[in-house]
Amino acid sequence: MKALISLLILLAGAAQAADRVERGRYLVNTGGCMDCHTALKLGAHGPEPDMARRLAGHPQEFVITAPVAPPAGPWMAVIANSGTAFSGPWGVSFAANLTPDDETGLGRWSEDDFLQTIRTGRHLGRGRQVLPPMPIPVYSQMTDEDLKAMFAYLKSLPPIRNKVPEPLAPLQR
Amino acid sequence: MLRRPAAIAVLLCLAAPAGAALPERLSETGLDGPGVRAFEPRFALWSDGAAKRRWIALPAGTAIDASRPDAWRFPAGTRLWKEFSVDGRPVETRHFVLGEDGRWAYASYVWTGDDAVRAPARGQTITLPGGKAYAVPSTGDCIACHGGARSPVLGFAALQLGPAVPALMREGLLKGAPAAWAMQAPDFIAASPAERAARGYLHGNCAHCHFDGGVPVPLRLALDVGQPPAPVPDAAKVLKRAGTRNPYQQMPPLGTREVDALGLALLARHFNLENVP
Repeated sequence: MKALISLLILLAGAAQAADRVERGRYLVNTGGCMDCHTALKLGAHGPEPDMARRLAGHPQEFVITAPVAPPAGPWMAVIANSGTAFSGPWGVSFAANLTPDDETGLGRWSEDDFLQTIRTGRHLGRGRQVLPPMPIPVYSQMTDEDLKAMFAYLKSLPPIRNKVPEPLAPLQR
Repeated sequence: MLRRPAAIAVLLCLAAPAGAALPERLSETGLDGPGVRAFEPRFALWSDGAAKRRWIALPAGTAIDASRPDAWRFPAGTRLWKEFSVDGRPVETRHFVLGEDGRWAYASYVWTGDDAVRAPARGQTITLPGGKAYAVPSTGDCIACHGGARSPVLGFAALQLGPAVPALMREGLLKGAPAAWAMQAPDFIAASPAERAARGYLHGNCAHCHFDGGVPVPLRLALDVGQPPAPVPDAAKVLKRAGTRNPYQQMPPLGTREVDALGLALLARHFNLENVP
């Protein structure tokens, strides 16, 4: 009887974990994460997400060394043709690798590292600021449960080794 | 034991909103009252050359739980102050209070005349005489450094107080501490004075994030009582981070806008590296 109860508890736990990953998949796929964190490639009908690099962030081989001045007129920021690098008054920001690669992605991150990054807008909840266009003011209002679900889903992805560069400071600094 | 991020989560939840319950003026915080004692850590955090004074007050009859030698736990009602002065003039005084409900409240007070007034929870930038900008931290900034550390109180700790610890033991202010501390100050093992100075500097400036269970990077700069320092696998990178104020690469990541030239030289000598990152 005890063995049966233990088995049922295990199955319930597994089902709950699967539900969480599924919820995370829904949130990541509807929350716009792909828009910045998956590099674009040129397809038959124009730019399209490169699914071989899904959520792996700015491609490490696409080297950007300095911010660019915005074009004349009422423009503030410029987006690289990969869709993963953004030059603006903050310097240059690069979309992070959200796959669970230990060295270059979220592999060593804990669930709390992820939650505190989103909650505080600081890297790991205590480091440099997370830069535009990451919509921290929106995502920081998500529930703990939803953020945990997103993290569980991201951790379930195949890891992709891709070392995203550090942000570049603005030119005037 | 909570992992560091879990501790941050708890502290973020427990932190009082926007300095609630803390008074509007520094003169109302009890800094001039009974039971307030000054202290000075051995390994100070670099604060762009600001001179600092620190005080602590424990509620009468209470003691600090020092059963984890490197992670002291403070009694409810503990109050701390840290005053920052530039060019001989006080600029701000930071104040922490541990509430009865386990919530830490954080606030900073900006000096004006003979008193200091509570700064906005979002922080503010002050222009000092001479035009220099001075950043008063937000409540979130306070939590970023203090919330996830082994103990939120960074300077009043075993290795930071060192020779002052036996007196605290004799006063009965530390409970659960190693009995030997009554006679012998807690310390870490250093192979040379240069190592002591350099690793002490790293402890004072980096330990609140870079400890076992801290940020998930393979770099442990926190010291432990009775232990030698952990090896530093890439000292050149540490020096580079400490030697830049690029806002996205600098270390520490907040609380400083100027490189500590003397600190950097100390590290360069110890690690046998060029001083210029």
